[in-house]
Amino acid sequence: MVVDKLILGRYIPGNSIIHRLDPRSKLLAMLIFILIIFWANNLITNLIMLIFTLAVVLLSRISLSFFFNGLKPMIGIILFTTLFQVFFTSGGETLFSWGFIQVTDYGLGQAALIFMRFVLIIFISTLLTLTTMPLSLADAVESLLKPLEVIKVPAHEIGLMLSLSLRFVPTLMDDTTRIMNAQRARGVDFGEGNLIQKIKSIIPILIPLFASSFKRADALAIAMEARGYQGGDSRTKYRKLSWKRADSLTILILILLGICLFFLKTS
Amino acid sequence: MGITLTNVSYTYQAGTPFEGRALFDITTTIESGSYTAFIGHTGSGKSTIMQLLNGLNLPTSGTVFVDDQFELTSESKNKEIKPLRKKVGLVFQFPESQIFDETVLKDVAFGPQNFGVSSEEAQAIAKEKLRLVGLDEALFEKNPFDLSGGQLRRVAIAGILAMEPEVLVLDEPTAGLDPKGRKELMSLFKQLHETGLTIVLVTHLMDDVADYADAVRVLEKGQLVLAGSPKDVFQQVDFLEEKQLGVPKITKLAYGLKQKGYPFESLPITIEEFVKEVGRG
Repeated sequence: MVVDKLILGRYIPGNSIIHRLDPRSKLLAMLIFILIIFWANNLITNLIMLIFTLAVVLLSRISLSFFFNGLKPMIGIILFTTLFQVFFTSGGETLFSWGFIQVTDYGLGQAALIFMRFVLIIFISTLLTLTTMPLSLADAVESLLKPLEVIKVPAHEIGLMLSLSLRFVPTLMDDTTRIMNAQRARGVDFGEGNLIQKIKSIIPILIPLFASSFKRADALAIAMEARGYQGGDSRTKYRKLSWKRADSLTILILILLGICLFFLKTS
Repeated sequence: MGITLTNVSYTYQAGTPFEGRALFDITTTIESGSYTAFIGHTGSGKSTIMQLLNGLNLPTSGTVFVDDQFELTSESKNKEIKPLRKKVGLVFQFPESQIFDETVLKDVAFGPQNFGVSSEEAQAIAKEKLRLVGLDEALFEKNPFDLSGGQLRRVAIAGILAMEPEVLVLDEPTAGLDPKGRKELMSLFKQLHETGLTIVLVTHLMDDVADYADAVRVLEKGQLVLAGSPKDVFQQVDFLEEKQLGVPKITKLAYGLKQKGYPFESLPITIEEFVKEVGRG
């Protein structure tokens, strides 16, 4: 199945420097990275970003093939956007033109830039999910949202929902396969016929899936209450996140990188 | 309608790092008109075999023959398999989770309609099957989600019977039911078997096997380790206990008595047999 091949969101156990970082620092670092990559708009800044990304990827000691697999599902979008840039950007010296399509040196530059950004952002976000357990990622989100509680953002609830949904993704996938098989045994053909027939054949999976999700949610809520869950106030934590020196260093490096880019970018 | 498996192996997610072998070189026959029980541990491959019988899974190697009409190999196409799905009806574990239509009647009629039966005809069949599983007529037009668990299970089974299969495959049909519901369902299957339906039962309950089945296949870690009639299979108390499968309660009792010196000719597997043996001695 397609789902099995999706590398996005898979965790690969390991014990590299990147694996051991606090999920909060990794999440923050990725956000900073995505923000500053838009400052990289000439050769030298792009080179810096590329070297930085490759260095981090190598530090994780995960084989590069995983990262290229992460690119695969996005390759269509990347090529589409890049080609769009190549063919429809005006300005600069025209190298080639045919009807309304024209290739300019400016357009080529823009396309290369977009391509680079896509690849680097995908590499870095794949790195985050490959080296961080989904549950600690949920913890990190909760912890990072904590300060926003002042403006009434329900940080604990968001974190709880995140970790519950992550926990139930595989369960729901199993449910889906089971229900699909049961309906196939009743003579449903999935993925055959015209578009309307295809959509219709989804109903016998969707409704039971929703129904069982409701039931599951109900049972889970009751079980949680029975075990004394009353919400986020005055709860202690089993998995404690600990911010170490390496984490501060990571953020510092990214800020320095950002400053570098800010001064080296062409305005 | 008989089913023969020859040298069937099955591997999940073959060719990926996650592959896991579920069945090893299984050769066995499910006789036409028989009541065959598959027993074995969780994870022994019972459910995998079940899905091989109607082509939901195709064997990784080996062949499944259904009568002389169907021959399933790893290369079979979905188009060829569809008519087989009508002949071999599969009742999955907790089948009530597959119900989706607005009314009970429509849901039961869904199966036959997928095989080209007209909607009126399908509804007529559905009514007949719902009566057969003992569901009250007043519930036919109800929303299935308003029904109780036991009633839903009946609706789901009626949905499979409505396709008028020649082989009925049941994966733990009585799991989670109360003793009365269990007994009613088991006698329904017995009654269906008597009208000529071939039944394949996957279960953990040795008492049910002894009471109803006429053939047993024992699976262990994807391999067929024992096959025969329930009477023969359950004589091997030590072997089954060692495999942690167990024997019917009454057989266990008789086995204990035999070790204390009571002269059983062969170990009884049902209470009736036990009474007869003890009365005779």
